[in-house]
Amino acid sequence: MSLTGTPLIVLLSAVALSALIAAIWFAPRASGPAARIGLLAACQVCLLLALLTMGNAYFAFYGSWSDLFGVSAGAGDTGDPALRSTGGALARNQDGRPLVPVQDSFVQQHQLPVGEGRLEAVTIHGQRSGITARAYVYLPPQYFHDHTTRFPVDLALTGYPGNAENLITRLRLPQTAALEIRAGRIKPMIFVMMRPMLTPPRDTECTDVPAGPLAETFFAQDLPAAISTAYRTAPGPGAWSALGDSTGGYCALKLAMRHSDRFGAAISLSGYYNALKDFTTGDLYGGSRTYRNENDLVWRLRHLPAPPVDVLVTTSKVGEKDYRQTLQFVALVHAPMRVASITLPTGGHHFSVWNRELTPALLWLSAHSGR
Amino acid sequence: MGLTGGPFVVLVALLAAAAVVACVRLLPRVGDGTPRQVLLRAGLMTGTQLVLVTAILVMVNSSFVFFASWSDLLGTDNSQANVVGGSAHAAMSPVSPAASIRPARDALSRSVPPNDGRLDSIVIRGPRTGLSAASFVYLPPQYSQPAYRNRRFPVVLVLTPDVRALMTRLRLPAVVAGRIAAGSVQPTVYVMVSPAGCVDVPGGRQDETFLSQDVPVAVAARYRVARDGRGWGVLGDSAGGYCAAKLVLGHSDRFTAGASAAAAYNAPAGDLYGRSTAIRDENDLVWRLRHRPSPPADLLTITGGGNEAQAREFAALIRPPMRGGTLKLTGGGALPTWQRDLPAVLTWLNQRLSAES
Repeated sequence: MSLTGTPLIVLLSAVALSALIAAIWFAPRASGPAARIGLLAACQVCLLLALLTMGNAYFAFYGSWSDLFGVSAGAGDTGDPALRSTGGALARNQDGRPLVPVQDSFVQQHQLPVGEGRLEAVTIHGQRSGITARAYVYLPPQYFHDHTTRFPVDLALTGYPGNAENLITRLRLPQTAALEIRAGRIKPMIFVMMRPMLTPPRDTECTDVPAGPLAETFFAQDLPAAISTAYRTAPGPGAWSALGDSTGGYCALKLAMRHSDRFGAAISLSGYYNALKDFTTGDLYGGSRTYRNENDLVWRLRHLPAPPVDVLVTTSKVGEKDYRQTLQFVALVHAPMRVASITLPTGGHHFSVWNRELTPALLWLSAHSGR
Repeated sequence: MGLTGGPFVVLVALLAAAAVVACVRLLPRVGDGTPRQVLLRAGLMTGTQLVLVTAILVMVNSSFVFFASWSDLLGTDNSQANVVGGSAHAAMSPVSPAASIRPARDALSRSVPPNDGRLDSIVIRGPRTGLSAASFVYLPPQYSQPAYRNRRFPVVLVLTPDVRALMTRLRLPAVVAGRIAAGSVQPTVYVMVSPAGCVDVPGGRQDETFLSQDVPVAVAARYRVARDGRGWGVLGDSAGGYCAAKLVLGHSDRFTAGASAAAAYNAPAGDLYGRSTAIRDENDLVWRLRHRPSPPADLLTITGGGNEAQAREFAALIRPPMRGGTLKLTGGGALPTWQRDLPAVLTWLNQRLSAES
């Protein structure tokens, strides 16, 4: 039974309802306050499970059981050298191609109308990182007008936990882009939509973990190389840009700042700027304080040359924990890096806020991407 | 009362507590099986559940701040999202790339006859790393010919301790020009640098990034050369050989082929790894081949300059899709002394590079 499917939601709702009915029925037999509290607690747990499952399906945090528990379903390599059997080549990628198109019912359900572009699903086999991951690709209608024109590419990353589906269902990125492209307000570009959680359930924060998953190499090297084998991507530095919400925003900024030879612009919707270390990440920095600093974007602005990139950051005065950090980041940006920002008076950490920011962000991106 | 503010959270918490207490105390009073009492029990328990779950959701929201306010939650917040800031409006011109390369006067640049091409003496300044390096760039005769005016040429980055000796002893421009004229090597640009190092010290000098990002971007902005990795190769000896192998292993999207006559393939000695053994391992090229996928690139391991055993161990670890080759120098020694072996090395690299199409 799928983690995000209706059957599970129906089942858990039925369980919660049954628990409540049973509690109502058996309450008189409960001897003493402790037992009654126990009944209430049990019902509450069932209700919360049902609600969590519904919320997860709606926001697409975890797409599957293996996402949640990290058991490799065989569809991906964790890229962790400690887990690789010695002496064996990567057997999963049987045909050796870095990019494999896949049939995906989600794409079929969310395909764009004729003339608005095309949504495709692909599996990327990272040949340098050893990581395999799913991506959704949006091709603008102009892609199909001829066979030679090349297009700039934007890598869009969702938050953690999160599935790339929510970039389509909740953020509505391809739909918004299609609208703006059709109106001629933004230039046609390719969007590649992914999630930063490459090795579920661990949060690797788009970092090359020493002796661990090479998440940064996947996004900075493997992904552009793979996409360029299958699609007509524009050459040159700055042909790529990155965009993301929350953790995806941190990733977008980090990729642009650490790989400005490829990424010319980045957008962070309610992203943060510090190098995380918590129970979802573990130690991402090989025990090195200085390597952790390199992954702290505010530290980078203070201590390293600023890269030649354009960035847009968004936050809210009320409702965003990163408000102060964003102000600090913006104040520290210096040439040749340039920064613009969107500051809402109020707005929480969720998709309808990012929806409101997306169109102005895409307009900004169109003016600043591609060189 | 704000959705996430202390007062509201305290209020719902108190209500939840009160509901639980009331429920626990009142339940015994509605313990009969009569429909009325069952209904009352149902109302009591359902109501308590709802208040309790609401309190939990409010507390979680307040902690993670998903919804910042009532209007945020109800979707009535429609404040305008305006982009402000220095680069907010119309596109500004990108950072001038020409600033990254500065010509430098050097008599050697006049040592190449026009039939053999052109030698530029330059300083490459890296905006990302803040590092600089003096360099000689050899351009083949075809570079300035009208028939090739739209061609973006392949590049070989040559990393060696004594760059001048490449001209004075090895006569690299003449050798290359001869190979091109003979048709065994396509017209190629050679960028010659003496690398200061090849490690990105955490929080310190970014010598590897200088070579993998700053140099390719600067050269491609100044010269008509390939902009993607299929047109870039790297050749190095001694410490430059470690660099060449490392650039192919770690940046195969930038360098599709390399030839390395490294003095050592281990992590260079010194406090360069942020006190982390894991980071040191990542800089040990033998460790990398053992524990990381071999990338889709080609690497020629050149032996005969000392370090024979380790070079063979290194080459033997190469796995598909990486393709390795070995070449034993007839002479041995540093790159400027490779008069007899250079043509074979250049040919090997040439077969794996393509001009940008």
